[in-house]
Amino acid sequence: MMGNTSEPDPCEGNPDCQQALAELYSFLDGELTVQKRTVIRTHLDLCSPCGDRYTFETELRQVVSMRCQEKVPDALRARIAAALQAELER
Amino acid sequence: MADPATFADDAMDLMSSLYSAALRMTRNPTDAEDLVQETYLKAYRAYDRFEAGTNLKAWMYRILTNTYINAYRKKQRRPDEQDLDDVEDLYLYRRIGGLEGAALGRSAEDELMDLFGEAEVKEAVEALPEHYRLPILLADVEGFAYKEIAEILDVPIGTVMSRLHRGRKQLQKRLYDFAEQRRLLPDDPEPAVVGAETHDEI
Repeated sequence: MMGNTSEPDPCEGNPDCQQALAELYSFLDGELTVQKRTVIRTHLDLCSPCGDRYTFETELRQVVSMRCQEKVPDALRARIAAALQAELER
Repeated sequence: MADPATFADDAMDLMSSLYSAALRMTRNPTDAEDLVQETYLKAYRAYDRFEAGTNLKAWMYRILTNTYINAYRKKQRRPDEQDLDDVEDLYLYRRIGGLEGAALGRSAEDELMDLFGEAEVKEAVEALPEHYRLPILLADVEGFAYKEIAEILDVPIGTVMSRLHRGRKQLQKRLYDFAEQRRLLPDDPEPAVVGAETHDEI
């Protein structure tokens, strides 16, 4: 794992790594073309520091998403169902 | 054209997702419940204008967002809702990217789940200024595409992308600050060198 080290960054100055970093969010957001995705994926398989960064951002996003899921209160569900039923009968 | 008689069947499954977003928008359960109910009623009344076969979830989110913007947000600006100065890329990774794997046999995701509990994540999201909070909810929590987010928020795609970029960095900084306040981090996490920036001091 990279992270808390002060060793020189092996990715510095490498254009493939710079591209992977620049496209990180477009990749995670599913906004890259198939071709660009393949290029990035191949790079991630070859470069473990870049792979670590992608993994970290992916997992962080999953945690944020999971933590933001709410259960709808039963009372609200019932209230909306009743309101829609009332509209339907108007 | 969609048939109003099928609306309940079509739309009820979206309620948890809409309610989750409404809570992050309004930041209180009473307003969130009212907002969701209003969204369902408006959607029902407009359902004959919904084009069947297009994305119902995106359409409902557009109604939710517009209703929130028009009716709720004025009274809800918070004093701590502010733009942070520009935050560096990969803010969290530079600081805690090495933590996972510290405990053998645990996944990075488990480590992150421990560091960032429900209360911290919700608070960090809710502290974001609205122009970052809404795109982040739509992209990172709901998984909408840039184009859909642009339509829901009625802004250009380029604006969606730049707000996501800045907003995500701010979210990471807020998460880090929470973890630090709760003393969940090592004493002296030196930022690691990541990416192509130059660090003269190293």
